[in-house]
Order: sequence, then structure tokens, then C-alpha cells
Amino acid sequence: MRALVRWLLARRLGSGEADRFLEELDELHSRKCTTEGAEAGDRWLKLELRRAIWSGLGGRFVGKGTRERGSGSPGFLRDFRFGLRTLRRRPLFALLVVGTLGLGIGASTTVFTLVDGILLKDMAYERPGELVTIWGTWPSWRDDPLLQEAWDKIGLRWDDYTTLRDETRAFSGIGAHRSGTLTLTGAGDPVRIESGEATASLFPLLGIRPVLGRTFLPGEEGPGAPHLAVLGYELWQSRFGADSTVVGRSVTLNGEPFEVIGILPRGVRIHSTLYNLFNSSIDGGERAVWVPANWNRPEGYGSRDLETFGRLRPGVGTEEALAEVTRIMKDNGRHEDTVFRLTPPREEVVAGYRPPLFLLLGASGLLLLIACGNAATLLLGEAIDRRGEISTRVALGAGRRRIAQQLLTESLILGLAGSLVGMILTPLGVRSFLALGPSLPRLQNVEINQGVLLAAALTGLACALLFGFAPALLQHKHSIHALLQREGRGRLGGGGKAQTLLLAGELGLTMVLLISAGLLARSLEELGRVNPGFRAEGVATIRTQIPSDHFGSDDETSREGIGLFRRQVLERVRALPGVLVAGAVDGLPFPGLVSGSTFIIGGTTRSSGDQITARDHAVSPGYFETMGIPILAGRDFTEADQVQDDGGVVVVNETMARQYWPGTSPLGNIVGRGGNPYRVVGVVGDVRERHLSEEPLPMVYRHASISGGSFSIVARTTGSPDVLVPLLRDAVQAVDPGIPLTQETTMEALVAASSGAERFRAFLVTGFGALATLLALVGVFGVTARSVAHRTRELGIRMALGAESRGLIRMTAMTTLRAGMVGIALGLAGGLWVTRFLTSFFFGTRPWDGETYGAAALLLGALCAGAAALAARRVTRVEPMRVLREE
Amino acid sequence: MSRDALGDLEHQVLLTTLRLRGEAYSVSVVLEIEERTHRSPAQSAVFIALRRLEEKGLLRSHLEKKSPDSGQTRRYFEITPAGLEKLREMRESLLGLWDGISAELDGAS
Repeated sequence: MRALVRWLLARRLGSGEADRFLEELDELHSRKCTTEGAEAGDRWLKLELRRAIWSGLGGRFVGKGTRERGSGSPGFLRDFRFGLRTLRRRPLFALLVVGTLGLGIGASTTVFTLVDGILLKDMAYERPGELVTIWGTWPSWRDDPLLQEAWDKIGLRWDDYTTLRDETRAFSGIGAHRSGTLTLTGAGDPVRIESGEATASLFPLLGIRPVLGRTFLPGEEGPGAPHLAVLGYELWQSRFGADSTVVGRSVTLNGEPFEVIGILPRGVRIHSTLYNLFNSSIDGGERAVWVPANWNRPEGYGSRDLETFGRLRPGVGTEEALAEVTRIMKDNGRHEDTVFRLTPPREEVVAGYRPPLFLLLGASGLLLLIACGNAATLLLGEAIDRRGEISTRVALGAGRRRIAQQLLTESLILGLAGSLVGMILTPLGVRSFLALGPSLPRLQNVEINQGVLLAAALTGLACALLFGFAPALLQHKHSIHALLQREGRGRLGGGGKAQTLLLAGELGLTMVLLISAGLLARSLEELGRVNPGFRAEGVATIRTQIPSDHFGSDDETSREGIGLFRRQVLERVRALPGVLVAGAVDGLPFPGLVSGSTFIIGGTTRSSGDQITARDHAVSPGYFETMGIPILAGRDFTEADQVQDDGGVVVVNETMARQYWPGTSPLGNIVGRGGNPYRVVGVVGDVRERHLSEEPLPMVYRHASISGGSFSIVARTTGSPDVLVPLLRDAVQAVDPGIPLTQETTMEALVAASSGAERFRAFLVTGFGALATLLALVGVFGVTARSVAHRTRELGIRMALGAESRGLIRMTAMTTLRAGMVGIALGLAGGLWVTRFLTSFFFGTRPWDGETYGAAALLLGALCAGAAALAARRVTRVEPMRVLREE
Repeated sequence: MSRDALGDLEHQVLLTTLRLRGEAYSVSVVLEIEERTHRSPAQSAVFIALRRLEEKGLLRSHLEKKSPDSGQTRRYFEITPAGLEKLREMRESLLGLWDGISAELDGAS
């Protein structure tokens, strides 16, 4: 009883004052014994101790009774204040529960906010539910490694669009667009801008109204359409200073005058799937300027590159509309091999991003579970600690309901505070996430909404209430008498077991996260080991964006002009200090090509050889050397190779040589393209084009003089390539200042960017894993420390009997560690199960990779042992004499 | 009743502390109250009331060694000007209530 009194007082006033009270109690006791006799004195002491417990717990002293009863506070408010006071006396406990819950809630709401903005929120079009995008698919492309990325992204031709627009009954409107680039001159420096071509129906169909002027009218579209331009808001702001008189004026696009007829509202994004496909972009939606669809294309222009929207008439289902589209197209005899699909616009954007977001959602969900488990462990531990106090209160007449209410209030405070911390962490988390620059679309839609915050608050409350109620539940399991007898007598069962189980579960979940993080990191490492086929270090690059017609309007003059320009630029670049070698290529690997070209092996016509598809690049002499692509046989191009118009020479890659000339040398063999024969003069090493994880595909390199388009310059330097990049820009501009430049970077940066998504995933899941480990360690520490506190008597006696503290530390820590081992074993099993679903994220590693599992188990095991041992060191603070005296 | 009004025990402890003039701690206060009121307050209640009154600014305390060669200390309390003011207030309000009813009480006894 004396220990209980001391404990109660210590909780209120600290242990120093509690000891002082006991001394003063003893002093008065001895006075009573002297004045009233030993028996009366002892009776007084018993009474006094009982009164201390009663008044201490009943709130009789500290003025509580009179003051608060008198002030007539409502019961809840009184409990709330009492709860706050109780928690203030246990700051570490409160801090851990609140911090743990806040962290779990913050992480999960952060990820949920992203999922909400990216996957769930609808597109910013008018009545988006009625809109579908209309695409063709070519099943024969599906298994072609060169073309599979584009197999289901076949757009409509202009005449498809007009036919559909005129004949449809299922759609109330059809609108189409195409993305491209135009060069804007006469408004600051010449600049290459992302442009869109729109049918007159597009903006009204999507519900986009201009802030100034108008959009295109029916008739202002198609071949021969008037030169009209609708400016995007951002271009209007940046290049025209938001001047409203720009409407009606003329701007120069690709050297031709266009009349500005309107300005679109801020933030209009019309997603372009094809732009993303061909530019390896993820969020191609912002177009700086819009011009009429097909304004400069000839009649009968047959490219299938229009991206089409249809608005379903009320009551018309997708299947009915699809049947109509298929029928109309077949009736017009243009799409025999095409299978059409209708897809909601949002699906079009997010389809490929679901798995990585669900991965993050899963990881954050696990973290939340671990956080809840940790809070539960802490609350349960607290419940065990407080059983004595509560039992005493029940024994002294406090109603169970009253006590349950008080405990619930305390949990409510913890839950509320945890939710609050989570809500504060969420915007920080979202901001940090966005700052990491994840390769995800629709990030502009990511914002914290009230629904998400409400969900966060409810999660925190539910968790705290559920586990905070445990003390009340425990009460029903044990008789008060038994509890009073056991108070202060070593271990307590029940709640302790539940706590151990919770800890094991928590460690199990942490293991699952660690294993997943380990496997993702391992995949990233494997990816880093992949030889891309070139040496990226020391190579700087810059891309020219040559406006069409810049070097003349007919193909021949233009090609010659570009050829001369390229040679002059390369000459200047090679003369730059530190540059060892330089070259040019029509398109760099990473992001690389999506399409392939048709070649004939061994001839120039289908009948004279085998028709195959291979990737092809136009490269200048010196390109292979600059990139460090090894020449395995034959030779590189020379400037002298360029003059042959009716064919020429090509270099093939190793895969192509192996595949089509197995066992023999391809050198001297003929490859036909466009009816012209090309002689193979060299074989070079394979290069991974689009991603480190792809298998090399057959590739044909042709001479740069073939190409009449934009190109990238690459230069290898002895110094830092970063320093070289601006010099490359100067070199190009010294030759022709009218050429817009892009992609000024280093090859290393391009390669790194190609595995950005993998790095990002691995980083986040590892982050969640680290947080989970931290939480689990808090749990291990807490449970062990509590176990020491509960076993003070036993430990004290053992010490008095000569046990060494090191042995006792080991003994105490082992109790927790046994739970840890169970948790780790559970986690290993859980990891095997969970990672089966993650195989698509792994590269060069299997979901059951033993080393990763072993490393995760060892890491968590070692950390747990450390935390447990640290907590168990409290054993040394047990004073055997005191324990014996209290007995 | 105002928020900082005193309970009965606190009132008694405050008066007793004044009476003990610097010698007040739980033991001396309990003995003094017992002697003067012939009722025995819980020592723990007195102990806490002293600290509570200190929290309210009505008492102040200092630690002193029990004896010059002892390691143990004792916390002594004394009244503050605010405590004195509080007692004055209470005396006035109680006297106001007592005013004019002495005759009935005396007559009844």
C-alpha cells in the first residue's frame, strides 16, 4: 500500500516530493506512537495510507473536489482537463503516441492526396463523365518490340474525323487535336513552342471558353484554313505581357503571319497521348499556342495522328458508341485492320501510373498500420501500468462507466493530437514529394482536400479509441481483489501478452516494408550495373530544333543547308578546349526511339530479300567514338560517305548482325530501304535505346547526310561535361543564332533520368521502411523498458542474491527479442507473399532473393537487439536494498 | 464561487501556516489543526494542499536540512502577501455572513 501511495504521489508531484511525504508520514507516525501508543499509531498509519490513496485518486485534495465540483463544469470538460493533466505528467508517453500516430497518418494522407489528385480526380473538362477518347489499335504491333508501345495508340486521319463528325448518332459532338511545335519569332528571341492543332469543335466540346476573343469557328479548320492563332494563357503572359490588344494582331509562327483571335484561360491542359509517346514525356498537355487543325496539310493527308474526343449522347453507352465508330470506319473502308477502343480521358493519362501509385499507397498503408500498432503497444503498456490505479479507484467506489469515460477521453485527446500532427505533416509531405520531381502525370491536380484531412482525423481517432479502450476492457477480465493483491508484484499477464503480440505484428509488417525496399533498391542497383552500350561519362549534349523551311522550302536545299550547318557546328565544337571528339545524331538514346523502319535484308525490294523492322538512326562520323560505342568490325562513317543519294553505306549493331547474318560477317552485305541499297561497312556494339531494362533490338545506323531534320550534338571532353554544355550552345549560335536549342545536358543526366521512376520508387519505399523501423524500435524499447519496470521486485531479489546486472540485462532483453524473432519470421513469410505482387517493379532480382531477406532480417534483428539492450540497461538502476525494504 | 476560492481544508491550512510563522510543514500543520479543531485531517491532503496553495501563489516554500548533520531536507512554508490578502477577503465575507445571526445561534444552543 505504501508503494502505491508513493507511486500515486510521484505521478502527481515527482518522486522527490513523494519521498518527502513518506518521511513526514513516518515522522508523524512515530509521534503518534509516542503520544498514543504503538497500536494506535499503527492504526493511524493504515488509515492515513488508505486516506492518501482515496484522496489522491478521488481528487479530494489539490482543491479539485471543491473547486471543480463547485464550478459546475460539464463532465466531459472535466475529464478533458483531467486527461490533459494526466498526459502532461507523462510527456514521453504522450509524445510517442502522438508522434507515432501523426507520422503514420501524415505519410498515408500524403500518398492518398497524390492518388486522389492523379488517379481519382476527373479531368478539368466540362462534364468529363460523358467524354471518351477514340483510338485505333493494331493488334499485329502488340508483339513487335519496336512498335508495341504504340500498338494501341493509333489516332484518326483527318478524313476519319470529318466522316465521324458528319455521320455519328452516338456522340453529340466530336473534336480532335494534334500536338506539334512551331517557332515563334518577333516576340522576343526566336523560340520553339509546343503547339496544338485543334478542330473548331474541340474547345466548345471540352467546355473551354477563351478569356479574351474567341476560338475557331466551323469552317476555320482543315486544309487551307485561315492563319488564325489562339494563345495559351502562359504564352500570352510571358511573351505578350498580358496585353489584351494582342487579339486581332498578327504573330509570326514558322515564318508565317497568324492573326491572334483569342486567349485561353490559365492552366488549360489538353492531354496528348502521342506527344507523350514520342517525347518520352509524362504530362504533355500544355500547348503554348493553338492553330486550326490541318491548316498546312495537303488534302488527303493520311497520318493517323489526330487525337479525338467524343461526347456521348445521354443514354448512349460506350459499347453502343464503339459499335457505331467501328461500323462508320469500316463502311468507309479505311480501317480494315484496326480495332477501335473508347477510353475515358482520365484513363488515357493515368493508366500506366496505377501500379507505382498503388505500391506507394500500399507502403504508406503498412506504415500507418505499424504506427497504429505502435500506438496500441504504448497504450496497452500504459493500461498495464495503470491497472493498479484503476483497480484502486474501482475498489473505492468509482463506477466502471465513470472510469471508462475518463480513459476514453484521454484516448480522444491522444487521437486528436495525433490527427492534428498528421494534418500538419500532410502538406509538408505533399510539398516534399512534389519537390522530388516524381515522374508522374497530373501533379498540378494534387492538392489537399477536406475529405482527405477528414479521413486522416478519423483514422487517428479510430486508432486511439480502439486501443485506448483496452484498459477498460482489461478491467473486466480481472477481479479487483486480485489486481489489488498483484499491484506492484512483478509481471502482469493479459495485457503484457497482447503487447508482445502487437510488437511481433508490428515487426512483421516492418520486415515486409524492409524486404520490399531492399528488393527495389537491389533492382535499382542491378539497373545501374547494366551497360547501356556507351560510355556516358564525359559526354555533353545539346539538341537543335531546326524550324521547317529554315534552310529552304524544298527537301533537297533544306537537307544540304542542314548538312552544311551540322558540319560547321561540329567543326567549331571539335575546336573547343578540352573536346576530344564530337558527333551528331538525329535522336539520342534515353529517351530514344519508339518507332522502327522497314528494311530488306539482301536486296531492295520485298521479292529480293527478307523484310524486317529495325530501329534506325542517322549519325555523323565520330558519333560512335564520342559515345564510346565500340566498332566491332569494319569501320565508322567518313565525310566522304555522305554524297551518295541512291543508297550508300550503313553500320549495323551486333544484335542485327547476329540475327540476320548468323555465323557470317555482315560486312559487304546489302540492306535495302526505300528502294535504295545500302552496303554494310561496320558492326558496332548494342546500345540500349529507351531504357536500361530493355533488351537491345536490331539497329541500322545511316549517314547523317540522309537526315533532313533536327539533330543532337554530342561531345566528349577531358574535363567536366557540365562546363562544356554552355560552350556547345555558344558554338551552335555562332553558326546560326536563329536555331532554337533544347536538351542542354550531359549523357549521364539522361541515363540517370531514364531510371528516375525506379529511383523514386526505391527512395520512397526505403523512406517508409526507415520510418517503420524507427517506429518498431520505439515499440521494442518501450516494451522492454516497461518489462524492467514491472519486474523491479524480481530483478531486485535476483540482484540481492548475487545475479550480475549483465546477465539480467540479457535476460530482460531476451523476453522482448523472442517477440522480435516471431515478428521477423512473420515478416519473412509476409514478404514472400507480398513481393509476388511487385514483380513488375523488379529488375534483375527475384521476389524471393535470399540475400535481401537475410539482410533485412539481420538489420531489423540487430536494431531490435540494440534497442532492447538499451532499454534493459535500466536494470542497473534497480536498487536491491530498496526492493527488499519495500517488501 | 470564483475560480480561485479556497476549500475548507485549504482555508484551514492557510490560517495554520500563518499561525506557525515559518515553521509550517505537513506534520506541524496537521498537529496544529488537530489541536485547534479537534479534528484530524489526512496528512496527505494537508501535504498536497500546501503545495497547491503554493501553486496559487498564496504560500511560498524553502528547503532546509532537518538537522545540521542530516542529509534529509524538509520543505517549510510561509504565507505570501497574496495569501494574507486572501485571508482578509475570506474573513470579511465570512463575517458578513455571520453578521446579525449570533443571537439566533446562541439562543438555539
